[in-house]
Amino acid sequence: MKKTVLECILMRKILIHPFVLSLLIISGLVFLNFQGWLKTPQNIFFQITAPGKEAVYGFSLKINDFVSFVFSVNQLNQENDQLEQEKEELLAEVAHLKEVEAENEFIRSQMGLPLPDQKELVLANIIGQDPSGLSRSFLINKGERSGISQKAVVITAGNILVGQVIEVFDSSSRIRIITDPASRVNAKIQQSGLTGLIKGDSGSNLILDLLPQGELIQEEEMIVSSGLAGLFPPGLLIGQIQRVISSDVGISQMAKVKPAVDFNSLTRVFVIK
Amino acid sequence: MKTFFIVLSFILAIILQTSSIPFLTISKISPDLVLVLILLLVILKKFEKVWWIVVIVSLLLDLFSSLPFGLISFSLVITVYLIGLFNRNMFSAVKFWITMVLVVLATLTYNLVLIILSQLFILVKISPPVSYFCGLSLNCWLDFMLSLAVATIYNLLMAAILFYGVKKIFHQE
Repeated sequence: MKKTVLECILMRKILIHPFVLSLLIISGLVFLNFQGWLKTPQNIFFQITAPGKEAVYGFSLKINDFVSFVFSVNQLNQENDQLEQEKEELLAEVAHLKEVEAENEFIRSQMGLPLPDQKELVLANIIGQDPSGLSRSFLINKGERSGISQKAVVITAGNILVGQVIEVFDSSSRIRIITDPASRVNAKIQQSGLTGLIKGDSGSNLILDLLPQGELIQEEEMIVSSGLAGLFPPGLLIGQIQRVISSDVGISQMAKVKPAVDFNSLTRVFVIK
Repeated sequence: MKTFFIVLSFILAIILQTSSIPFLTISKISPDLVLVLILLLVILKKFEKVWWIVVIVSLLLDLFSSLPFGLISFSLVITVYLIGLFNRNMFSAVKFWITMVLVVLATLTYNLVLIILSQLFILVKISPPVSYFCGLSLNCWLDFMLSLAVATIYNLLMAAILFYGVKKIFHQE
């Protein structure tokens, strides 16, 4: 009898120890979240914090831009010349593509084929980033109310792939960006059509994996989404090959890919509905 | 009044951690302002007195993260409790250099606990099988060690800048 009372007292002492109590509270909340019962408090929390976070994020971005400008002021002339040259090349390419587009539309109408669907886009502002160093995600200020659903694809101007919506709240959503270790995108090399899988790298780059062995892959080739598996629409720009990693013993080749998006200066994205 | 300032500084820290601090990233690593602040709080006050602040702050961080819910909370609570215990048993006064040693230890412990728990979460199927752990890849381990070194230096800098100011706000009378 005495032993049982002592055991009870000891048990109670352990349970009310702040460290044990903390772990128990967190475990309880993990369980509630696992059951989906924390959705409403999360919605309220994001609604309250969103305006403040948006303002701080915008302000931080401006400071970041200013600091980058100060550090790169010496290279501006050289960069300007390079951009001018690129602009001329791109203008010529745009003119050519417009002609091809018109020709394509004409042929489609002649053959009675429907024109490709126009995607409905939702413009959203980025209001925060992942605080942990392990994963890469953004919070945006549009959610279920704006018609955003889970797994929706997120792009930026110029049809460049940013990521995918992984969690939707009432007025905000969480996007997993393509550099996250959990992100997988079916992709292809635009010039050769070779297909592979784009994964997040340990740095800020991407890895194009599962490329067929023995094929010639060149640096600076463009990578676009292939549309396989149906998760991402085909033709979204992902990046450019930086380095090919190939060994005779491997069954496939890999390539390091530089993302087309500068995630550090991204403020707005489009969610494809 | 002091509790109000502590809570206010943590709310500010969380907002900064999720909006401004990611811009200070070097090779995928940015300073962990919240970890440093929580650690300073536990060094200056006992864990037993501020445990509720630690739990609330870590849960709020979890809300902003895309990692499985609870991973950051568990890692933070375990880390600051262990470091607080170590501090109380090893050192008697709050000195600048002691705090810096504790920041180094806390950064290493936090990352280690985070990785171990992320594997555990996958094992018990709380999170999808996305491994943040290197496995047997040597390159990945080298990258991880480099990231850890950068994170430690970053947190040390942050702690050195904040130490005296935080001591004034957080210290017990």
